[in-house]
Amino acid sequence: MSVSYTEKEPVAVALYGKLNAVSEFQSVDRQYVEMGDYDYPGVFINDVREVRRTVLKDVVHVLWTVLIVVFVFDDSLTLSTTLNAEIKRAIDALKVDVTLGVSGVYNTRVLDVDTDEGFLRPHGVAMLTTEISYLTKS
Amino acid sequence: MSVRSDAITQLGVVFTTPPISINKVVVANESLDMAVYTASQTPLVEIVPAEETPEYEVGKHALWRTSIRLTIYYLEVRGDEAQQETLTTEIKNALGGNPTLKTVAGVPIVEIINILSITPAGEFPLFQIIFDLELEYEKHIANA
Repeated sequence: MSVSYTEKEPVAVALYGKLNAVSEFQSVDRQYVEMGDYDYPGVFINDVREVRRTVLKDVVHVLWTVLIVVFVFDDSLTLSTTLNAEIKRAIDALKVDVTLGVSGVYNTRVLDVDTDEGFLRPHGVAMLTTEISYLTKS
Repeated sequence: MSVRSDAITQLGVVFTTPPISINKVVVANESLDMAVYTASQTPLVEIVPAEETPEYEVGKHALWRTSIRLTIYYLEVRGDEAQQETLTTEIKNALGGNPTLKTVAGVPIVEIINILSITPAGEFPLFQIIFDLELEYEKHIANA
């Protein structure tokens, strides 16, 4: 099996595609826009940081961290249940294929899940700190 | 030239002679800065000469033992052990097929090469196979 390489933008596009393919998510975006402009439940993807380790002169191992923000609206008493279901849906969407279908991506994993702790009721927000591992030549 | 430097030179020849798949041989005194090498230069073999011990037999004649560490660097994706096995077998075969490091002229450089240990190491995506070798040869101290 040979080593493959990619770049950040195709990975971002693939990540967006994986989440956008979840039919239950009514809106998916790569940047934050005021929530009133979206349908619920929704997801937006924040670019957080890249940790780059030079392996060889022309091979860099990148650990790219993104924050996947899942937001729901539920004014009943089942807000946390609704939010948990969407968190699971997002994680499951990523677990199906940790390469995101991109040659050069070697792993995708959710490291942390934080929530708004109920303060935004009737909105519910979860932040999934997600790390994507890929090799690049640049 | 000493036996040790002849042996190191010949090891470089052995490791770049087909069918072995090594692309570059580097002789160094310490761990390499891999950031100066490219993917196309892997698998890369680093040869580090180490301890040299004379065991005196008669007067100034000695049985010399020289330690050499070979580190093979190679790129590999996770969970794929094929390259590790292939490279280990190639190095074993190369040394086993020429245990006296004889040159093209057919002159043996050492009595024998012993493989003391083979240790896999490294982390994704750059892995290593470390061979600890011992070379034995008899020589007058002045010519060793």
